[in-house]
Parts: sequence; C-alpha cells; structure tokens
Amino acid sequence: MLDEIIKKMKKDFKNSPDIIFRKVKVKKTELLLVYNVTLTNSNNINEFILEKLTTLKKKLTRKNIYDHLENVIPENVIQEVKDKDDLYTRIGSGFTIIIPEKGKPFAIETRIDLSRGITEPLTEQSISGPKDAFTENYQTNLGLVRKRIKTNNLVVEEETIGKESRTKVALLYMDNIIEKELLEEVRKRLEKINIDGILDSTYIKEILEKGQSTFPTIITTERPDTATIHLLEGRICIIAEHSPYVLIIPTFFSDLFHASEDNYQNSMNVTFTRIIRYVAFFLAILLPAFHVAITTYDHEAIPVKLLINFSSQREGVPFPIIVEAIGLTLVFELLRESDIRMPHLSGTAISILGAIVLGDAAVAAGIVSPIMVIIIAISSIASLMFSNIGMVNAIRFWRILFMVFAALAGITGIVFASFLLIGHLSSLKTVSKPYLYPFAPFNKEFFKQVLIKSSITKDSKRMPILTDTNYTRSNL
Amino acid sequence: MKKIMILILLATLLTGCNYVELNKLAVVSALGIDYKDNKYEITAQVMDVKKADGGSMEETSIIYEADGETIGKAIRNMSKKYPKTIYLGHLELIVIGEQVAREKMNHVFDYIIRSPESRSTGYVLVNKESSAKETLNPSNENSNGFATEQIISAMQNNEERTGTVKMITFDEFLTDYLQPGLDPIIPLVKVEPNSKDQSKTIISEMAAIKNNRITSSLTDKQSIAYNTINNNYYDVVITPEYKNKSIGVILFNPKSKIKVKLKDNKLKVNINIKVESKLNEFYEKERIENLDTNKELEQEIKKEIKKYIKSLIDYSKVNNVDTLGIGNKIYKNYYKEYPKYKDKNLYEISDINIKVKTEMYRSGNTSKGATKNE
Repeated sequence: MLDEIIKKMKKDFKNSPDIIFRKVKVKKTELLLVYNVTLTNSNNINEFILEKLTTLKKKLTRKNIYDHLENVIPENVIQEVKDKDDLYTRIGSGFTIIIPEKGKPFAIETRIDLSRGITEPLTEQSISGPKDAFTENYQTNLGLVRKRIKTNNLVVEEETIGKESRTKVALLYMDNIIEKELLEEVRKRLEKINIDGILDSTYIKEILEKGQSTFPTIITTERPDTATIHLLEGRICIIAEHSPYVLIIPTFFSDLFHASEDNYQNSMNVTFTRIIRYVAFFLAILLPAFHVAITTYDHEAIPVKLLINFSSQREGVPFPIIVEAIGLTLVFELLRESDIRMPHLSGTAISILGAIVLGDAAVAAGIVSPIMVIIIAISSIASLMFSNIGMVNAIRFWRILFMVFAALAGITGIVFASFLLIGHLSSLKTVSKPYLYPFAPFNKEFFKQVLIKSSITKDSKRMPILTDTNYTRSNL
Repeated sequence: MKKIMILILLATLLTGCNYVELNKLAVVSALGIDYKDNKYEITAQVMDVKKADGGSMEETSIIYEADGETIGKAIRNMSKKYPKTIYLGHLELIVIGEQVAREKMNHVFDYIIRSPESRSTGYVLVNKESSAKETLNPSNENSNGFATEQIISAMQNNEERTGTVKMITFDEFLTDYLQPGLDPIIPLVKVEPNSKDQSKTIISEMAAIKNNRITSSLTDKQSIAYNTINNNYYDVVITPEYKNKSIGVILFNPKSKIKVKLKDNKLKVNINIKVESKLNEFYEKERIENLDTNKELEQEIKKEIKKYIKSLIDYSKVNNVDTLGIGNKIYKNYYKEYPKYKDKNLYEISDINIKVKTEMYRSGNTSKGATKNE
C-alpha cells in the first residue's frame, strides 16, 4: 500500500533527489514520512517527530491517529491535508507529511529558516531613527510592522499570487483610516494579476504601475518605520514573500523628495534640506540643457565674462556641444553602471579610472571642455541625491530629452520640454489618485507641508485625499 | 512618442535664433562708429582670451575694423576679413566719432534699434575731438584687460564721485532723444597724449545734442548743476567761498524738481533744489554748532549752487539747447501751446526762478577742526 504511494509520488516528483521518503513502524502500524530535505529542519524531524513516534505507547487506529499525534508531537502546526495539490504545495513549503496506511495524511511544520537575520537598511540609510530593515522572510516582515502598530485596526489581508510560485502577498492598511475606494481598487487590481511567478514585490509594483511613466508612481521601502508612517497616513503597504522591499500605495510625486531621515530631525533643518532637494531636481534635469542652450543659441542669457570664459574653454574641442554633453553623460552612466555591478573589491579601480583617466585626461587631451565635465558632474551628483533608484533613472531620461530639445531650439526648446514634463506628470495616476497632489489638484495646506516640514506639533492633519473620515492625527 | 515628435517639430519651427557654437562667436564689447570719405568705418573691440604661460587664461581684446556705405554693411564686411561671426548681444559701449556726432547721430540709433541681436543697454559715449577708432584702440590704454571695462568703470567712478558725467545707456538716451522739447546730454570721451607712445582716456565732460548734432561741452560746474537737477549722483564736492577763502562741502542726496507754469503767455519756470550737505574741509576757528556760522555757511552753499545752475542756464541760452527739458514740460502740461514755443529759445523768454534748500548738520568726524582756538 505505502510502496504504491511512494512509487506514485516519486513519479510525480520526477525522482527528485531532495524528496525523502521514510517508512516508520509504530506499534505494527506503518507510517510514511515525506519531506523535502532542503526546506526542512532535520533536527526538528528527528526530535519532534521520529523520537515521539517511536516512543509512542498506544496503538494507532484510523480514528484516534490525528488526536494522538496532536497530543504527542510538540509542534504548532499540525493539519490535515486536503488533496493532492495541497500535499505537494506543503512539501514545497517545508512541511513534513505523515501518511498512515489507513486514513488521511497530516502535515507538520518543520520549516527551516532560510533567510538572513534582520540587518541595517542598505539603500535608505539614516543617521538617526530605527536601524532595522525588512528581510526576505515574510513573517519577519509582517512582524516588523505589527510590532510598531499594536491595535487591531491594522489589517493584514493575505492573498496568494502566481500560478507556479504561489507567493504570499499581504495587503496592510489601517482599517479606521483607509479610504475604501482606494482599497477596493488595489484589491481589484491584485485579483486580476495572472502570472506564473512573483519573485519580488517589484513585480507587483510594475503590474500596478502599468508602465505609464519613467517616474516611479509607487515607491518601495526597506524600512519598517517608513512603512509604518505611511500606514498611519492612510496608505496601503504590500508585503510579498521573499522580498525585502515593501510597496507603498499611493505614492505622490512629492514623496520622492522626502527621506526617512526627515522624520527624525529638527523640522527647520529638514525644510532647508528639502529645498536643496527640489533645487537638486531642477539642477539635475535642467543644467546640461541650459548650458547647451546658452552656448549655442541664447548667448545673451549669461554675463559677458562667463561667456568669454566658456568660449575659451571650448577652443579646440572637436565636437559640437550636444555631442560633448551626451557623450559625457554616457560616460558617467557607464561608470555608474559598472560600479554597481562590480564586486566591491574592484570598485576602487573603477573610481580611479573614472576620475583620473576619463576626467582629467580627456580635458587635457582637448576632447571635452572642463566646463562640460563640471556641468555633467554637478547634474549627476544632484540626481544621486535621491535614494530612489527609479527617480534617478527618470531624471536621467528627462535630462537627455531636455538636452536634445535645447540643442534643437535653445531656451525655447527647454520651455517646450518643460511643457512636456509638466503635462506628463500631471497626467499620471498613482493607482487611482492624481500623482501631482498636492500641487495639482492644489491643496494649500498640504502644498506648504510637502515643501516645508512643519513641526510635529503643528502637523496634525491627514491628507484628505487619503482618508474619508479620520482626518486628525494629533491634538497638541 | 508622437507627442514628443510634434513638440520637437514645433520647437524647431518656432525659433528665430541661429545655431552658433560659442567659440565661433566674436563677442563685441564695444563698437566705435566713424564716418570718413562717405563711408562708415566701424571699429569693434572683440573680447578674447589668451592662454598665458602655466595654463592660466588672460583676457585680451582684439580690434576688428571694416568700412561700408551703411553701418550694417560695414559690420557685415568684417566677415570678409575675420574668421568669427560678429555678435552684438553683449554690446557694452558705443563710441561715436567726431564726424558722426556732428551730422549723423540718428543713423547710429536707427541701426541699433532695428537690429534684433544687438543689446541696447550698452552705454553711449561721444568722442568730439577725434575718431572712435582712436578711443577703442587698446594701444592707447595704459593697462591690460578690456578697454571697454576700463572706460565704463572710469565713467561710473566719475559719475558717483565728481558728478561731472552722467552715465547713459543707449535705451535711456534714445527715450530722451525721441521726446519733443528735450535735448539730451551725452558724456564725452577724450584721448590725451600722455607720454611718447601712451595716451590717456579721459571721461569728464558732457555735451548736449541738438538736431542730430553735438554742441559745445559743459563745464564741470554746469555738469554738476545738471546732475543736481536730475538727482543723479552719490556725493559731490563743491568749493564755495567763506570769508574769501575756498572751503570744501560735500553735496549728497539731491531731490530736485522743475515746475513750468504758463500764464497769460508768460513762461515761468521754478527750479526747486533740495540737497543735503556736509563739511569736507573748513579752516576757520568757528564751530558749526554755532547757529550763526551754520546759517552763514548754508547761505554760501546756496549761493554756490545757484551760481552753478545759472551757469547751466546761460549755457542753454547761448547754445539754444533745452537741457532742462522745459519744452518737454510745456509739451506735457500745455499741449496746445507747444507749437508756439517749439522753435523759440525758451531760456531767453522765460522767467526762471531758482530756489535752493540745503541743510548742513554734519561736520565730519570732528566738530572742532584742526585750527587752534586760542
């Protein structure tokens, strides 16, 4: 009987070597243990299952077997297996299946923790504030948020997405704050997802964003504190299994200018930093384009001494200015990309090559003008101010577009490109909300708040776009 | 993508500017305009940078010259000789030569306001004695750098500190020039030989322009009077006499007004001057806290200022130029009567009343002075 089952299962698993079948005899009753050795903790199986089973005193019958095992085995999760599909899924998620000769099979959790522990955030570092970060472990991630909001108003809705991967996806929100329409919309979109596998939360991000823009309309965070702050504002967080990044829905354009650090610093100093970030955004997008425009069409726009200075620096450079600008931008992107891909050990070599060989030598050889190196460096550094990689890439795209427009029509071209940028941004939606809120649709109170960080004593309201009823945050 | 293509197309169609790389431009900082043998001779001072030893940059200027039947033609003719495109967008100074100043001032104005690329915020100067070319030629200069810059800063200094020059941009000048009943004043530049090869550029005089023609220049006193009436200096030293000795007084913060009244065909002009003053040099024993002395001093200052203004009025009378813009005031306030006065010498027929108000309450860092009071 059991041999037959083994044969059948082996055939289903295509003779995978990591599936272990083990027969145990308990008081004349034969039991079959099936588990995946790579996903299970062999200590648990030895101590909690095999040892208890072999020392069992009573005889197992078809009727008492379930109660018996539940009493004897000190494991939390012991469940009956519903069908064959369920059986295979459970083997895949690290359960040990006990199949008796007679009666239904049971699943006992013997999962091994295959993830790393909680570490410091790598991409969203901050000087002050909590230092823990999400990991690849789904339960840990949920726990990191749960321990920060202790009321039962925090709702976790779980769904399984992915035909093959069967990834667990959790939808987190505050029941008393969330706007129901938004919740419905997100649920509806998640239900519609039909994909073979979700390997990271960014898969869900891409699907929800619908690829409408280069700008990120949903941001990810690896900081549980940031996720919690957004939950309290009335947003939805999505945690996917095996992904250390949590999605925040909806994300407005202004959120890209905020860093997690902002919440833990003196609000007046944060205001200054925030202004710098807005300046950096414009510098990053406009500076090379403006340089191209004033040196080719609109020479009137700069003081005469600067004009002479620029002109002398360009003396002997063989390329038109736009070729110079785009070429240098490409070189910078090459450096950045290779620096990210390279293992840390050879990273230094690249920096030296980039700084000395490309920068200094190219100028000395007269291939590029020094001012162009400065301009590209400033705008690139300004774009790297944003911790969100999606934002950095979006800025790069628009920077080149602006440069092309500037090369075609000078400052007039920049104005045209600005129309394009503003039109594009204001047509975007983050799930169902306008992306440019609170700039457009305009909300005076929150317009001020996203530009200037008000002190926590004054920041007492939630954005009306994110909540139906619960507007008050604090009463100080 | 379609949207982007349409915008690119629109952007290229709608611009009027030409694509010129910066290093192919000859940036003209000063333009000299002369007229000789029925041809305009244009001298352009082009800014350039020379690579000095050790890689540092040194600013220099090159002179471009060309001639032609009209000013525009002459400027275009420069392209025959020089490799770079002439660019007037950063024009800082326009020097008008003697011959042009005597006959064809309006030709210069016409060219500059018509040409879309030239900037009209540059300053204008007239060389009454010789050519503009001589003024701009850097071999005349006794130091390095841009001749233009030196001329402009000298002019600025002069305006603020001596009050004998009024800096006037092309735009301002043209507004004055086109007004009826006002003869604008223009600063003059002079090139004086200094030693063997060197010479000095001096800007310290002004002259009025009437009917496209430059008239004789104002004296220092007349210039100060003109600037006082037009509220146009930072501070200025005058030297009135006190007990038959010259003393130094600084005038500052002038607030003056001219009022013109026309009644029963009688023209009445009231010039009200209000200016603050302080002591600069004073060698007497008296202290100015003494009210009598103070009043006496104020009287002397008033007398001196009146003298200056009278001299300006005399100048206007003799040359028949309306430097104070009395005609313009009539034009604005009594429009119907204006044709009657248009061609008359207003300074002869009008009754000019000068009122000067000044308060002197500062004596510098000391109230006693350096004279021993025994």
